Amino acid sequence: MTKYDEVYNELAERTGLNPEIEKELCKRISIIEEQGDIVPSLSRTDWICVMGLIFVVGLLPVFIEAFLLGIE
Amino acid sequence: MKNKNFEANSEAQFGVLPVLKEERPYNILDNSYINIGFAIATWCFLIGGTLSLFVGFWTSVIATISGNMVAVLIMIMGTTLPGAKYGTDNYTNANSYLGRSGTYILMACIVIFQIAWIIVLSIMFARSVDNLTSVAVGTETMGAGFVGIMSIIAVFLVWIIVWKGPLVMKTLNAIVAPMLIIVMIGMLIIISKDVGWATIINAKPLFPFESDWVNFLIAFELNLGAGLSWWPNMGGMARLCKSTKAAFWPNIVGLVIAATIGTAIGVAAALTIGSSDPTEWMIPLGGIILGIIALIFVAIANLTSNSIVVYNMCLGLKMIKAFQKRSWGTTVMLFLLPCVIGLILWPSQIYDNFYILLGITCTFYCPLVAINFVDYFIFRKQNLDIRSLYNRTETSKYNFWKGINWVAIFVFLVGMPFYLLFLNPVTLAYKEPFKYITASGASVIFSGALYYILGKVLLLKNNVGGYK
Repeated sequence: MTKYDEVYNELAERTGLNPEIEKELCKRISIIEEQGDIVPSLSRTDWICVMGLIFVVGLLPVFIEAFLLGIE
Repeated sequence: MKNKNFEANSEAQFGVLPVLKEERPYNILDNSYINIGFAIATWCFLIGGTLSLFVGFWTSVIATISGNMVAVLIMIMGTTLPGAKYGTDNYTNANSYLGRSGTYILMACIVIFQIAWIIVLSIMFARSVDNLTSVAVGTETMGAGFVGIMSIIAVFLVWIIVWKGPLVMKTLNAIVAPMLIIVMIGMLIIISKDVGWATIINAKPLFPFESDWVNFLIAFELNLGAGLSWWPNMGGMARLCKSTKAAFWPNIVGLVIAATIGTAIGVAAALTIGSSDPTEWMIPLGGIILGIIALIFVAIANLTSNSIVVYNMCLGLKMIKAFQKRSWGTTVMLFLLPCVIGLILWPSQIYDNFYILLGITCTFYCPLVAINFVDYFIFRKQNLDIRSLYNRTETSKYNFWKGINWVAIFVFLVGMPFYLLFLNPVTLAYKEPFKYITASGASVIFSGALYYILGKVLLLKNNVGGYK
């Protein structure tokens, strides 16, 4: 059984879509499942940048302001 | 065959089908333009005007960058990443943590908010055109009737843009976004030339609280809320991006950097000229030619923002059976119809309560972003079952309890009023704990923690919701 058949057997008449679009949906899902990530995901460097931005640009200025202004 | 492929591609870009890599039209630059065009609108300047009540220029810039950076990054992690990974839109992905019917319940509320935003942005467009025309005619204003007609024309123009779809939006934003950046830098130069840079940075806030810390925190909070409130407009564009990087980072360019520049202009103008809205001061300060150019782009900016709002919402509506058989153009038209009715019946009631709308949406999206984040990153470890996203029967892993994840709905209902224990988003009256954690911060952390605990006990332990 091909991946498409497997997906179609599971989803046929269960998506609420018209049959033609449903077949197209199953075709696309089978491609995505076979390929895994269909586009390159974020790299480790990206995640380091995300964390860096949250802490250095997002939170650090708040802590500095809290220190300078005093919370009370 | 070619025709069939085209139709399938069209069904993906204008409907619920996942978009495959070879069909995706946006690279990182295209999506940056889209995000700049989306983020910059009159609302940036008006938020700047509100910040000027509490903080000075530099403090507002710091609060805007830091507040938006935290909120936007957390919000886009749960929306753009699955969107890019699976080619699916935000509302289809929401089935995985709200359930199919749960998503419909929340969409019913979101549709109302989005209609209100479209009305606000359409009136902002109309007021820009009113100012332009008034200058040409030599009068103060063209009158309420003119503004009303222009706002309905704005809705019509947005219908054309969204009907034509992602490629037209890409081309339009590729022209408008760079011009908007130039115009905004020009605005800052004009203000600083007119009133002096020193006057801007030394200007005192207009109506601050006694405590400087509270003033800073209110500014930070407003930007946290604004950053989280982009949630319903995410995902639709991410699924059209050629890589996850292209889907993710442009949000920082638009929703953080460009929005900060717009807000800074609003603050500078409000502190020194007394009006944050550039449609009121651009021509007196910049002269006729520069003023008119700036106003044209500010007007168009409201259209590009509106088109993204409408495109994303209509993708969500395509999940609903009543819209599935209708053409894309008809779906968009049906969604915009209540906007036109609202513009005819209650334009000023909706526009004048812009800040109440912003406040309510803040309380709404805080728990939603938290649930989305915990579910996708902690419970599902960034893996969705794409078959179950589209399976509308009880055999779907995301069926939960008759199509509703009651845990998420409960956390959402508790998380919303939790915000109010810290801050009234309409009056900005704050309670003591606000000084230590902010209202959005408290609501997101509380909702995330509650969903994590209840999810572990009620979902994962009982094997409900397809969690591995």
